[in-house]
Amino acid sequence: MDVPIVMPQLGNEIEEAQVDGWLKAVGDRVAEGEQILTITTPKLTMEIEAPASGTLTEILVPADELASVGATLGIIASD
Amino acid sequence: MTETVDGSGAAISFRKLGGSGPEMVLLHGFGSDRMSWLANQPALETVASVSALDLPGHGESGMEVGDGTVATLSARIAALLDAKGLSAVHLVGHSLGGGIALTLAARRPDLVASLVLIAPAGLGAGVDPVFLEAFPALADPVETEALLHRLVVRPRLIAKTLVGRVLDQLAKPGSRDALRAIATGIVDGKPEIEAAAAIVAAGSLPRLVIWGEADTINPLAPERLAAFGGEHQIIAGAAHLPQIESPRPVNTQVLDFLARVGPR
Repeated sequence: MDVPIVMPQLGNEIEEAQVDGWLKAVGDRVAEGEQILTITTPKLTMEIEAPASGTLTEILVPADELASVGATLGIIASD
Repeated sequence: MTETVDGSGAAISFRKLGGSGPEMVLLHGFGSDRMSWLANQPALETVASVSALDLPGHGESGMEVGDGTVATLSARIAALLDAKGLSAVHLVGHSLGGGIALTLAARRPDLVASLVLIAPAGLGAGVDPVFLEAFPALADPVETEALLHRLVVRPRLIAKTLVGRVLDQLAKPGSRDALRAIATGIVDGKPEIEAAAAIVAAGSLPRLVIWGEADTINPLAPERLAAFGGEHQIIAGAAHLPQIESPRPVNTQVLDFLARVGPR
């Protein structure tokens, strides 16, 4: 099953954030809860955890690009 | 954006973030601002009506900080809460904000329903005076990044944008002087915060203390923590900013604590 990696809710003052960098590449195995990318707002850098265990199959928002809260950043094919 | 004038006539930037339930107010640390709770506020808003402010000398608040002591800053926050008609709030304070929360709880117990203290000033081994002295003087991005790295275990959490933002904030008129006064207040005022902690320790106020195991800015002091009582959570793999480095366990611990405290 494909599980989306989603830009989290960041409070009501922040509508988008930049993907700072991916800590995993397409094809890598990831474990649920493992940190897989960092995002940066003008205020704070945060790590995003894998929502499921499986294989990272797609990166939809590469490093240095902006994405809105709720946007799908990548896809994990879950085990 | 809400601008509120406190008892001293200076502006404190205060904002209701969201959520419903008992009132909660977030007090950030030295050199930070109310936006530093981004990783926590959505979780906290599921159980409380959450507000955050910029401490005097920080963020969008006025740069007038008087003598800069925690006692003075606490009195300003008390005046603000009074002006807002807020009482019996759940206070969440990090570092300097934790010292302010402790002082408020000791001096104005009517304002405080519970305390969540993250690496609070006054309960640890003491906030590193080298850090406190260096921060207000920062001017160079490389040197700024190096100093900020001391706050975290994983350097990737100190992005270039954050470095730029810290320097932009320091460039505001009055910012460096305000932070120098507050830095002096944190170091010289340590006995005063410790006295406030002793008053809280002698009472029955529900309290949770969270500390990053690898904190070198205000290192954990187990004997002080034990004397303080309440609930304690030590976060592995985090330094001085566990609420940013490990938001998931920190948020869970705060929500569990508030559930045990119950409605007030």
